[in-house]
Amino acid sequence: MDFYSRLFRLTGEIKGVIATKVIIGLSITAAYVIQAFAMARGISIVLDGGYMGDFIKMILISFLCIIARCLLMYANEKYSKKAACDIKKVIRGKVLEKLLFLGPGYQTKKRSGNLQSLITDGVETLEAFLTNYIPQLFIVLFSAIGIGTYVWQLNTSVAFVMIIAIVLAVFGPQASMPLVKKFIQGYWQAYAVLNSQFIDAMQGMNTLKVLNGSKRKGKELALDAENFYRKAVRETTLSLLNSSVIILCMAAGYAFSVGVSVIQVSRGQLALSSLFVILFLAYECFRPIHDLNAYWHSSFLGFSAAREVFSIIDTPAEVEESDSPVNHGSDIKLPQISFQNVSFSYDERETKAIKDLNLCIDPGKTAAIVGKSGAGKSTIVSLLLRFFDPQEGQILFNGENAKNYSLDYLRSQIAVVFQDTYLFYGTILDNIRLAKPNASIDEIIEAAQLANAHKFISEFPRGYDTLVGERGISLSGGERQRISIARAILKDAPFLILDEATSSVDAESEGAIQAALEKLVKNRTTLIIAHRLSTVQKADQIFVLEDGVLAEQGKHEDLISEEGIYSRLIMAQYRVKEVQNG
Amino acid sequence: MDSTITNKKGRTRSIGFIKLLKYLKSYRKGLGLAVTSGVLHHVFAISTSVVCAYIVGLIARDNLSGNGAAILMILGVLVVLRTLMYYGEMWFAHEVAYRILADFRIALYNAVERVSPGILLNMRSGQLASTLMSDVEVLEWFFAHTFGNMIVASIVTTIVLCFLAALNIYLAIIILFLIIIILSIPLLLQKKADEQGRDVRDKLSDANAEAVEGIQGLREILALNYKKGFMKKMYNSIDKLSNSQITYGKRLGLEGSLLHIAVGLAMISILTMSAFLVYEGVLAFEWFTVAVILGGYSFGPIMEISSMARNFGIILASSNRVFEVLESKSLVEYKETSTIKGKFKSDILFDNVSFSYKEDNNNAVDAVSFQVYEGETVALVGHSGAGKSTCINLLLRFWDVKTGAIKIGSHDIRDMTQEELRSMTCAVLQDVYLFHTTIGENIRLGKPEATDEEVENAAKLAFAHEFISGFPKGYDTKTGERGVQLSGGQKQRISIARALLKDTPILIMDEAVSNLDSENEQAIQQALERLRRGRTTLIIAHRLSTILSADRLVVMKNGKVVETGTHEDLLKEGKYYKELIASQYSLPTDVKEI
Repeated sequence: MDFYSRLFRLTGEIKGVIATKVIIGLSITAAYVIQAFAMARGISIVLDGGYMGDFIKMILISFLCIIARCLLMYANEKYSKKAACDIKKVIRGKVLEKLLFLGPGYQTKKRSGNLQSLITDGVETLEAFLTNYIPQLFIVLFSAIGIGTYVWQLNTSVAFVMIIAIVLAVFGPQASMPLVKKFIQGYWQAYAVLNSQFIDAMQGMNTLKVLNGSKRKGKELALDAENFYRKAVRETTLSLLNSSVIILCMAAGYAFSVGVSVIQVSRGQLALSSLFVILFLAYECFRPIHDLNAYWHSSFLGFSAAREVFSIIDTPAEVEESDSPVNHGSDIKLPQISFQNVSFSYDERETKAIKDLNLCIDPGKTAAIVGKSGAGKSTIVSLLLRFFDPQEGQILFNGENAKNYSLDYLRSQIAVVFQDTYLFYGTILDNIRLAKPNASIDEIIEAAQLANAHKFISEFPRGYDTLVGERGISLSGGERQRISIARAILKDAPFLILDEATSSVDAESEGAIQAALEKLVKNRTTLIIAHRLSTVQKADQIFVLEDGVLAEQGKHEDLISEEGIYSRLIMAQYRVKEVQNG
Repeated sequence: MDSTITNKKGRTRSIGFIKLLKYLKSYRKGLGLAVTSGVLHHVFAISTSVVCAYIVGLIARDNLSGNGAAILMILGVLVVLRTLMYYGEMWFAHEVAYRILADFRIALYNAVERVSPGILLNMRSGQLASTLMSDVEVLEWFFAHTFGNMIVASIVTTIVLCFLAALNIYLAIIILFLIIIILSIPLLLQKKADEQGRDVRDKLSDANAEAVEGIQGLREILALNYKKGFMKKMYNSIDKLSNSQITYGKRLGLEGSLLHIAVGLAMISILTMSAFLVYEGVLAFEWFTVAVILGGYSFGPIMEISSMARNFGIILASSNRVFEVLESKSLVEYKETSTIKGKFKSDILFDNVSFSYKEDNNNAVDAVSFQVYEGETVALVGHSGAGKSTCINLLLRFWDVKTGAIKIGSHDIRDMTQEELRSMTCAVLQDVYLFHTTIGENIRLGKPEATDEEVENAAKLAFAHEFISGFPKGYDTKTGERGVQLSGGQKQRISIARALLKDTPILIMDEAVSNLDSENEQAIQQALERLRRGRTTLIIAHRLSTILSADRLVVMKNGKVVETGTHEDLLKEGKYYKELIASQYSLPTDVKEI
């Protein structure tokens, strides 16, 4: 669909609002027009040396018009903001919902600075176009038709001049759009890139300083800012051409309709009283266009943001919801998970992360996947959570293809403890409660106790009400991990994934976490992704991955005696210990 | 930061503007051109109206001589000139604005550089980014649409007033009176405007932070089925933003209405007054129409700044945030020129060092003294919060000591230039930050002039070459933001390669707490071994193996050094160390096992 009609369609969300705005706007114009008539009449009275009382009457009418406009303008401004906020909320919601649906797969391709600035500042820039420009377009149209028709009855040549000017002022800028489009896009891209670069540099400031690179980075950024400046100037050079056309049409329209009227009067083809009316009316006729120009100017940044918004909304999802999800099987306490001939690559051009994988985790058992980094361990987790779907083969959850469940249901059956845990801004209580929104405080404390987290949480002055996350206090990796385990305990899902759960944890916490995890795996089907081989030795089944292929499987003892990859990995670990020992 | 703003509230406005004006100084030429074309733009626009009104007045009294073509020609010329001047005004104003914006961003970066990492104690990165980018964008309004316009408006208004005074002095007096009223309206509502403007920006940056959470915590949101809860939270902050914006909008509407009444009154008074003058025979009719048109439309430029002034609240709130960062005092001041002659020795001395992050806080380190001899590896050991990281932050001069001194080669680090200190030290920090550029560039950070071969060599020594060349694009592979595609172990190896390439005599390390897969761990241990060789090393140790491999240990507790010595000595004689090791590494079983 064409970009503009799509943008226009966005306003469909606030049709009523737009209509109201148009009505208010037209009323304002009407008040102007009435005042123009009154003032023209007043001038005629003065010219004719008429009765002063009549003149005063005209003044009073003008005054009433002014008061009416004031009230209307107040209402308009208030209403506009409300409307703007509503539509921005709708757009932000749409983008976020889509991002949540697209999942982490989409994110790896996009830089987060970019997305975040789109959701807040980007959407903010859409306001001018949606809630000001579009209604104004209608106001211009209706008021021009109204005034044009009236003037047409007075004198056709004057009306002709006016109408040409209006048409050019409204459609002239549109004609140059394709040219301008390109530059706007470049502008927004440069803006977004610059934004993420500044964020990147500032987040890495310590690293830069340590490496004596902060000054250099500053120079680099200066170059980028320079580049942004150039793009902005270029964009302005063009966008101003557009508004200059409008200014030209307005100025010419006003000057020439008055000029032509004067000539018509001198030829006796127009009444003098009508000339006074045109003197004021011509100005009123172009006032809405003047505003239109202002709105157009402030809409520019929004166009580029809109493009980004559409590109997100249009991105095909990595996974699709089943049309008729099954969602049964909650009666089966301990799920069985199996991979059948599963192959997957993140990008078609890249080599497969997983090749023709077959494995089965029996209900209630603990399985472990081991292998070097890059062997495909984390990919398995992403596939199980359906952040991606495999290109070939299928993943069965209790014998049913995972694709046949709804995403919500599937994910409600899985609890994950990730390598690094993200904490949201809010209290520790809130963060644990995420896993079960209706959990009571007792349940949460119990979960924290089981996760060996209760002790450190209680040591904070504000306990469970301590604020954490980017804006709160920062917790150590081990503390975060234990909160993550508490979440998993609270979620109480039958299938548990421990994705390198103890790997970003300091020695202090590791023992506590291991103990917590041992409680957690009981009565669950568990998949452990691990590179600390000590943690997987007790697993019922061990799968060894190498380059995306299942290379070995079996129990610890069997694999050791096979003297294959697994036993080599174990040996390597011993060697590390020897090295450490000196 | 919010509290400081409120404290200064009373004088923020004037100070804010004076600061903004200071930045306009070096753009005099561009601004001059913008103002000149701006004045001409308005003069031509008003001339057009005046000519129109004048000929209407003449024809009304049948005094119009000359032909229609001439009239249209004059009008045509005026219209074209006006358009050209409009273009010129806008172009020059924007050029200056964008120029200043670019300069501001750079200035802000430099400010952040100066005050990092201290600034992070007060600001979250999402907010910092929003300050930098959006607030600077808002300032464009001031530079492109306010300052120049103010000058233009005053000049144009003066011209119009003179013209009216020439027609009749009373007309000019009435207009002057109304102009004063118009200008005072935004002033009356100023306090409200400032507050609301600040509130809108604050709410926007809250929504921003919320969005950042959604993006960075996406995996958790999905895995925990927290979608609804998150959206609720997000909508909640959007609603707060909306409310704040609506409040702002209401005031905007009120101000707009008041301004409108004032302008309407001006038009009517001029009409009445000049009608009276015509009746009295003081004013010719052709000038009557001119006076009416002038009275009505000469307020254009004044209205423009008044409606601009309605946004001063937002502009000021933004500029306050920007200046907050720009004017944050530098945490450390480096010597400009080198005063130290000859080569440094690379031993490190902490001499009775005390420091606290905030004035009123307890000391993070308290009277800490220890020494690292040349070529020696000393490990800092202790619970988290014991002050180990603070020692390293101080040695890196992220902050300066409160009392005492840190010396390298018997020179106080405060007497060194930045170049000297940085060329002596290199750090491998716990949280490895990879920039959004190629892996090669990331390694090269510490030595930009390094050849590809040197980079590769460093990577080989750091056991990173193999996995890097495994990527399709090798060293030209771009790292995602925060290095998403690389594993923790790989990132650490890149960080070690950086340090190897930078090749400084002193190595400072904050050992990563995370455990690594055996392959990574082995590689990293060996790489570190190589890195430490021949260097003076101060290391925050988490792993027992690292502690064991250090020459000496400095044991810290609650910001104080409690014990120093070798592992064996401390196990024999020490008290706290023994406890620490026993509790953390479940000794003695572990020791036997390895």
